[in-house]
Amino acid sequence: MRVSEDSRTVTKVLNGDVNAYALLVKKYQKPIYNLMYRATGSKEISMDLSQTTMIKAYENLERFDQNRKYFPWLYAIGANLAKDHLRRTNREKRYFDSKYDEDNTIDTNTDTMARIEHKTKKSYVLEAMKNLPLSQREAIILRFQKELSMREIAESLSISVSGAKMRIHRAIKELRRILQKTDIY
Amino acid sequence: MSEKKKKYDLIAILRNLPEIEPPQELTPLVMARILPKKLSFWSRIWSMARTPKVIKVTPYKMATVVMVVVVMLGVVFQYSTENTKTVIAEADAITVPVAFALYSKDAMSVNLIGSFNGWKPEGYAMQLDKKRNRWVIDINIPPGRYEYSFLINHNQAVPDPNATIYKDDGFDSHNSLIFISSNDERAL
Repeated sequence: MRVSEDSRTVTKVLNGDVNAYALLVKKYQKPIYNLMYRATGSKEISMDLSQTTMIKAYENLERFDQNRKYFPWLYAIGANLAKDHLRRTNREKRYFDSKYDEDNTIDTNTDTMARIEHKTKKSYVLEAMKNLPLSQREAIILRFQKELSMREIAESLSISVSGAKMRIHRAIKELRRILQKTDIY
Repeated sequence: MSEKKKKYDLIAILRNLPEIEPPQELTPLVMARILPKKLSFWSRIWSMARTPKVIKVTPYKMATVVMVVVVMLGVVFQYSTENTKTVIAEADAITVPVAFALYSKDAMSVNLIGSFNGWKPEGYAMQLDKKRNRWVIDINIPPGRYEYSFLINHNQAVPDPNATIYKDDGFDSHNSLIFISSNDERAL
């Protein structure tokens, strides 16, 4: 069986080489920070939550199964922290800014359409993503941007494989429903 | 645009969604807040046991290992065989001196025959002790259970009249029985 680079690094850390942990932090700080930013919309809070994620992962490193991939395990810790934060602050539907209503749909009135007309398709998708629940948004990020397998997505989000498939299916469906209201899609 | 094309378009965009860079101080801040792991001895053993290992084998290494194993097995086998032989030899070396005696006024010669010598009289001729008026012989035999008789004048086998136990020899006669233990020294 091939021993992953991450597993070797984890072994070093568990054997007392604390500096080796910096490799794991540097490697995965970007996706974790982006997860937090997508969830909170605040760079300051994202910084705090990212640090907490990395420290919590370090404290629980003995529980990490080295036959699995490190990233889904770390992501699951981060996703749980993000959910806890949103639950505490009750802000899930206001994470980026207040341009959108809280009914998860794009306002299709003339002013709003005029405002977004100049945007590219990517901008439309980004805007539409903001209306997805955190759980669905992270599922499609992991699937398409991080290219994780369904099993890894399930691990990352602490759900079953069938649950992960369902989330992605619903997220795509919801995105398309939102985008169909624009004249581009 | 067809529905399929729209879907592929959407997935292509999702694959290339922009990400923001985390602040550079994130890693130093995390590292400043953690201390080296201090694991117990058993935790280290457990961690080592759970860590997958890569074993690389070359024909040269494999041949060396096979050779060492064969030599070790040979040494173990040799030692084991020698040990067994020693135990058997030691067991065989333990014999008990036993004296047999017979009174017979008509005998010209008496030989001792029994299961300890394959019922062969050669080499087991008894000597006449004139003082005691007895035919006697002293032999060393290993501990065990034996049948025996006295062969008088090379043609008549008679049981030991002083024996306490007899056994039917299957020819309308009896053999005497003797039980020798390792700490016995019997004079009959």
